Amino acid sequence: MSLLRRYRLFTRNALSRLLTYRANVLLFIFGNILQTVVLFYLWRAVFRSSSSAALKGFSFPEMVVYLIASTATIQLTRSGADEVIADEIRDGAIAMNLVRPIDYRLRVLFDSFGTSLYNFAFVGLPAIAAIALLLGLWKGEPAMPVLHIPEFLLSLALAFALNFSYLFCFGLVAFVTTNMWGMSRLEMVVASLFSGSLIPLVFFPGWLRELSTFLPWASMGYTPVMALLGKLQGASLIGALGIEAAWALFFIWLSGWAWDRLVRRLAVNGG
Amino acid sequence: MGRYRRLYVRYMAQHLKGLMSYRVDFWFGLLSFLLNQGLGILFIGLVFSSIPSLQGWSFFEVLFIYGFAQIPRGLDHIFFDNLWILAWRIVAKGDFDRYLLRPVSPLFQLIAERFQPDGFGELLTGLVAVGVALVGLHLSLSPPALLLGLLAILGGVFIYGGVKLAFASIAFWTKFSQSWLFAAYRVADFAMYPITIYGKGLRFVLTFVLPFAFTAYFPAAALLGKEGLLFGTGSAIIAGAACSAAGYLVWRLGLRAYEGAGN
Repeated sequence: MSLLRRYRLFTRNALSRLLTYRANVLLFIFGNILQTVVLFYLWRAVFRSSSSAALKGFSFPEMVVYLIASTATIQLTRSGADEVIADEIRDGAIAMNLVRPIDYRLRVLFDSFGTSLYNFAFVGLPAIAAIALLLGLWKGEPAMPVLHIPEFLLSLALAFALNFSYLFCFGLVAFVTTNMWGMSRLEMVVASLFSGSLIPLVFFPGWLRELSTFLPWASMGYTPVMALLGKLQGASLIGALGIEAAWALFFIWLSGWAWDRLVRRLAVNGG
Repeated sequence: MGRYRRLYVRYMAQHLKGLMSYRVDFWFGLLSFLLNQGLGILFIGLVFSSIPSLQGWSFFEVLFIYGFAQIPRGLDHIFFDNLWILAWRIVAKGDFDRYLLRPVSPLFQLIAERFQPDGFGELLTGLVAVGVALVGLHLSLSPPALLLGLLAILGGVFIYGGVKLAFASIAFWTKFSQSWLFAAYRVADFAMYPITIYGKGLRFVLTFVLPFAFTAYFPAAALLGKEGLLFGTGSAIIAGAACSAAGYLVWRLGLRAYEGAGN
């Protein structure tokens, strides 16, 4: 409880930072949403051009819900921990945080909560409203998606834990390279492909589809959304959640291990 | 004019030296843009595996428009990239005063100072996609069509450049305007596909508000014979001139506001 009280400040800090630069943050979010709008129109044209009502098991309403939920999931779970860390390494602020009597990982975690809360308000809630509105519009259509909320929430929580520790590790890369800009651009491209935010992974050719569902990025965005749409059930749901949990545990362990090693090295360099 | 040309070469040499010392970043940057634009092609390919045509556009036609879109975008990225930095930190950190002290046009200094080879990632993807599409369509461009196409690309570069200049200049008032630029660039993403798939409102925006449709759809469709050749390419050139003029106007207004605040 006292831990929560102590670290809550970092969440509040992140929130007030985002609120101070409100106009800028919202413009960035708006830009990201535009990408989803492009995809919406592309899929609309694709479904209009197709002779069958479903593509790879997706009806058009399901695809639209997929796009919205996928955008929201990524915004909620990719909380920018890597940028926080890389920035502090670059400008040296990390040294101050090392001498403070706080757990650095917890500090960044609570900072990430702030970003996620903010994104929940400005992306999550509008996404929920949009999906609710669309479901109302499509009432009675045969291809109506049925949402599996509890499965989604479970998978979302795992995705948050995974994404946070993965981004924490990625941010630490700034300790060993000065090429963070290029690296993070490359990471973004790979993540957007394999997390299914560009196209559902079922559209990949056979071997790539198999492979990609085992990669960590699928667990970050694709698994929660497929669980929401009820496309993962029974054994396949348990399998996917298992992979997600395994990756989350792995990256939680890796982030702790890498942090300890780097801090030790840093202390040695400092004399 | 000769002086500016000599200066530009000097600036470029200076910048290339800098890039040589960050070679890894250079390759990562290039690779990321190559992959990013490649993903778009992958998307088109995967989608077309389940449909014969996209509302009347064949795979190679869509590929041609997508590839054509990357060429002016890449060239703009190579030559006008410092405008992003203006929007990001040049004004905010107070570095802009430097440009005002030298006896050369501030806009020239700003543009010349940075040469961004990352843009070759887009340029290369675009050229390859256009080449593959032309072979796939069994289409060869006549010399006049080729010339008009090249002029339209130049027009496209200045559409991007002008829009970028206008949005980057917002930083003169707000200190930071990268978010504006980012949002404007996402609007440009719409122009990489046939604009006939969008609703009326969106088409209006892409044609008359942020006229990115002229960087790709209109000239590319003209070269494919789906729009009048002179209309498609000529409109791109006119839009390029109009955007540059608009961008320059906002820049001038911004400069005035900036000087007013500083002194």
